[in-house]
Amino acid sequence: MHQSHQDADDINDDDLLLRRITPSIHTAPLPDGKRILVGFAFREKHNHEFSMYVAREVSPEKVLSCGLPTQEIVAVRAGDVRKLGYIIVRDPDDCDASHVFAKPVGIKSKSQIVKDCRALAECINASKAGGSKTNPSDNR
Amino acid sequence: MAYTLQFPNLFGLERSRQDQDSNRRQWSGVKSLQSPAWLKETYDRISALKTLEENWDSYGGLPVADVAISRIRVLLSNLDIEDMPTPHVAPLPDGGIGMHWRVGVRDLEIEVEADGSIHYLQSIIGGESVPGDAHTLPEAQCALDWVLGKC
Repeated sequence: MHQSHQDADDINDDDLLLRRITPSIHTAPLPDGKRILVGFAFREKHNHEFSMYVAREVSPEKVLSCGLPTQEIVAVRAGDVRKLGYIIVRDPDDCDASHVFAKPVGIKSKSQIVKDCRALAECINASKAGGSKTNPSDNR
Repeated sequence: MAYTLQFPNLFGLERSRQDQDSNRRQWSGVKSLQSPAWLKETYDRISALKTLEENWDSYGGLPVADVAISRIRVLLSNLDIEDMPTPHVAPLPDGGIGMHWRVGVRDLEIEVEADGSIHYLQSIIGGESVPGDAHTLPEAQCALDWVLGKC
């Protein structure tokens, strides 16, 4: 059970947060052969929050080691998560002390959370299309 | 004793109506001639979701609910999807199933939840997203047609 629900002010907006995805499930092919991240990538069993790891505190390999063999890592800016109305709460887990979860500041409907998850996926798609930094290890 | 009055011309008319009704019942649900090539592949992918076990996403995701599987099959069987491109089908961590289409700048996510309810999210790339609920097949059809610019 999460006890602390305060935004981690030591995590800057420019910090990257790492999340495991399963490419065959969480990316969709386009007609030109490219694959895009879909909003389902940020959904969790309990729809109101989702898990990530602070990139400058952990390696992508360590985060992957706590997941499944077919998984990969995507990175999203903490500022993009906050901009959508979430706080980033520190929550060290069995995998690593850098574990955090994003939690809505107020009450959000499920449809709003679905919108937010899609917006985060688009942030990542846009950053890849624009050629900006996408390698999570670059932020360490 | 029961008596049945039969008027030949009326009987003939009634018989004709019965035949027409029978034909309608027989054919109204048959769509195989018009089904897109991707439909079988999509059904197979949906069936394969049954094999997912708890924690399939490494974040505690639930197995896909049987209700969601049967509901999404009914949905695909009853919608006009001949012009649609292949959807990306994905399990959802709460036991539902999601489908995603992108056509040009239009993005559509349709979700069938574990309880069988249907929701959608229509988005323009780089623009607004509009969520909605599909309580009826025409509502689901309209959500789907939107991605092709028809609705």
